[in-house]
Amino acid sequence: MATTAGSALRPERLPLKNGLVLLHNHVAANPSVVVRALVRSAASRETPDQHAIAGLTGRMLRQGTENISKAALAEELDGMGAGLSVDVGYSLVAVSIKCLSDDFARAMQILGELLRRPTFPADELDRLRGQVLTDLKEMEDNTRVVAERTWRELAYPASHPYHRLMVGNAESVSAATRDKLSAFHSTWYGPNQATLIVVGDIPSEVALATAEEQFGDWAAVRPDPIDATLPASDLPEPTTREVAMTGKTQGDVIIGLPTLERKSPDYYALSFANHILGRMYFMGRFGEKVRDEQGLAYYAYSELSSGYGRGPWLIRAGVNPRNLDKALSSVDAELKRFLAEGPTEEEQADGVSSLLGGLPRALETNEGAAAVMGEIELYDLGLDYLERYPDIVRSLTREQVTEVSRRWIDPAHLVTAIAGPPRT
Amino acid sequence: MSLSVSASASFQQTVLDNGLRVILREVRERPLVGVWMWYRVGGRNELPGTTGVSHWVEHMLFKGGKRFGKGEISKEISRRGGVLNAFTWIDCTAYFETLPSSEIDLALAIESDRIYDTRIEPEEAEAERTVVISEREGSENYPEFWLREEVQAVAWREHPYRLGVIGPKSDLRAMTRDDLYKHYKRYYMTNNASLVMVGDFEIPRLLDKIRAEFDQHPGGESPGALQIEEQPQTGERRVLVHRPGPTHYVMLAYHAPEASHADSAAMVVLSSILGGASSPIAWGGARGLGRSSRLYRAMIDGELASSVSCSMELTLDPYLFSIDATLRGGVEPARAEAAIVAELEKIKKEGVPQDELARIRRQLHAQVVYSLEGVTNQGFALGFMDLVAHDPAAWETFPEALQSITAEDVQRVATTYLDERQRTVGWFIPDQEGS
Repeated sequence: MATTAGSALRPERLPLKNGLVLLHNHVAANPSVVVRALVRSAASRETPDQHAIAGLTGRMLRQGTENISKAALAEELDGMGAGLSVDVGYSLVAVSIKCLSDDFARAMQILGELLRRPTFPADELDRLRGQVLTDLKEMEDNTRVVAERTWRELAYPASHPYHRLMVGNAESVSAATRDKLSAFHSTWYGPNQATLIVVGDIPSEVALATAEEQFGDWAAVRPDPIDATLPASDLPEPTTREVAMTGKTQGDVIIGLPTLERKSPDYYALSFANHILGRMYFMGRFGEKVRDEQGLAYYAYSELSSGYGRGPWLIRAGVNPRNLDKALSSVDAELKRFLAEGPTEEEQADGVSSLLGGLPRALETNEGAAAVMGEIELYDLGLDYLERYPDIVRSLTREQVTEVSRRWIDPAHLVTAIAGPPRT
Repeated sequence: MSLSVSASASFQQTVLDNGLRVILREVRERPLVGVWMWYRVGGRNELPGTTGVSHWVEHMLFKGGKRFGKGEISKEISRRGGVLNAFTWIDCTAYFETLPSSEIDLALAIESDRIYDTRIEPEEAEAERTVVISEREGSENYPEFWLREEVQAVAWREHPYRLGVIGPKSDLRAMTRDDLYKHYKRYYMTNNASLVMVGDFEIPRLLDKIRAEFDQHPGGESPGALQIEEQPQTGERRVLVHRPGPTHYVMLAYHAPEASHADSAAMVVLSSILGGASSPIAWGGARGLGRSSRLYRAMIDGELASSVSCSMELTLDPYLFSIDATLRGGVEPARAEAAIVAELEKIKKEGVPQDELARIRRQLHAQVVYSLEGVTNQGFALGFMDLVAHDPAAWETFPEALQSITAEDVQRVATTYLDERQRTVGWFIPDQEGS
């Protein structure tokens, strides 16, 4: 099964002279294509006085360029039936266009416009600002968001990009100017900071020729590696903070700590541990214990976000305040049991078979394939990664998974944030 | 064995002797299969006192029956690299597994066990009560949930659509294990279900396996058609929700025709003109479409709202055509409502230009293409259209019908259905700024 899965994705890596890397995979299952640029121009590039600038720069890409106005762009994309999304994260900005295969060439041209020639019209920035300020108010009313903001503030030092939500706050969004966005764009948007991904019913030579045409003369920018802005920091002190919010009935809980980066040699073992603790079967041991056995929550699971820098490992749960103490102690007991005993033999075997058996599913859609291709390029996994992956997973031992978990998940450094109705 | 077999290029439909509808489609590109089991029971089959029972029963169907004990269904699927889940809606309850095609037998065994042999142990039902309440409480954290629930509650006088799906806490606290079991026994039977499978298999061999699993189950007494018929609304209804919240929200809901009605396709086109297209037949599709739509321009570009959407759902009985907007700080609901109504009136009065209609057709075509990526989504589309349009072929014919809708059709349905007297308007008014 895993061999078949591996063969389903055979990306080609086609570097352009200016440093831009094109990753291409030809899939004819659906007459559509995903065109995606991953640019290392996200929130971790911000200097302390640039908070919110990366997010606004990303969102302004579609608000007008040298050759196409915002309104004309909206009309044209809708006329093509093409979806354009811009997602700004901590390390990467993902600009994606999903379109019918016939419109591939124009989609690439539009992507080139957005990345290379945005004009950041001041009136559009004002309009977007108003929208973002409303979004921010909604976020401050959202228990999940408040829990995450609180957790980040406690878990990462103030100097670290992961300390704050990338969207910014009312003050920083209000202070953003057209010139600041434009300068940020000039500094970080360039071929040597970008990866271009094309997945769908497009032949390789067409993809390469179109990429050359739209991006071949894109001038390089500063080459700084992204890791430099995401320093390792001391682990946090164990802390719990509750934020009381009016008008809410459920509390959202986040428990976790900063762990490792994607390139760490321990990544696969820790990721495997996370799979058993918070994903496999029905949301792992946490889901089984807290939801299925005790009925304390609608959701309880864990996630490992490893990319650049020391990403967090988090347990998340939605709990009524009256069940909170029980749920917290149940999660704590389950985690400690895992750290003491490691996975059972059955869990270890099921973990391997579920991860490998799930590969064809993960690669079934163009977007799924694009996500894996991005990971391969960004973290230097090699084009044969999917062929090697089964052996990587099979070679993990229970002892190794246990030892790595103990090393990276130290309960003495767990930070807990809770946002929800006040406890009576 | 089978009473009827109909075939088209894109799927094969069989009805077993016990009434189980079986819809199969071969897709051999990947070693995967998507399995869906659809039951024709949901919010519309519920009464006050036990509202939310269909959804709670859905949760119980993961807890084991004769061949699978508690937790084993998830475990067996997961360890084979599959995923599974379920959802309950106003018109149906549906279960799915997506897994390697070598594991088809497991999915069939699970669905066969579920249909008649789920145990619903009292202590398990009790443990799940708090899970379901917690699911509701999670939704209650969002202002939009309160507004929608309130609008739905007054948009109908008779039809159970007014009760929604999750159920009020009072019902969730009061319902008993026997209420769940009675409901399960009444609605879970082969002649009230459709099994839909899409993926890497040969239909004749698969049909043999399906028969081997399901022929053993006799059909039951049909639950019968819903007797409740909503009387036409005779005047606008308005509701206010005052609660803590970050901003104002506005919702306008008009009574709209059911999926099988001749006007439903034109209503989907109208909704796309107003708020951008999404696939009406399946989940998924592209994000970020619709920025040239009329409501986006009026409300977002017009600086009245931070988000706006329009929806026309395909349903068994007449449902709602609704518009939701999240208002920017400082914008009064009356002003936003007037701006939305002005856009509706414009279509009624002036119709829609051909170039705009052409753009919408392309958007709808593309969204349908995107939404059919993968075996799970294709199984959804076949099963869903079989349910709401009473014909799985509608997974193709309905999108085709969208392409032949004319500007006159759009203007006519806008005039017919977007009538002030057929409207329920809801405003969410925040008690305080933020919380």
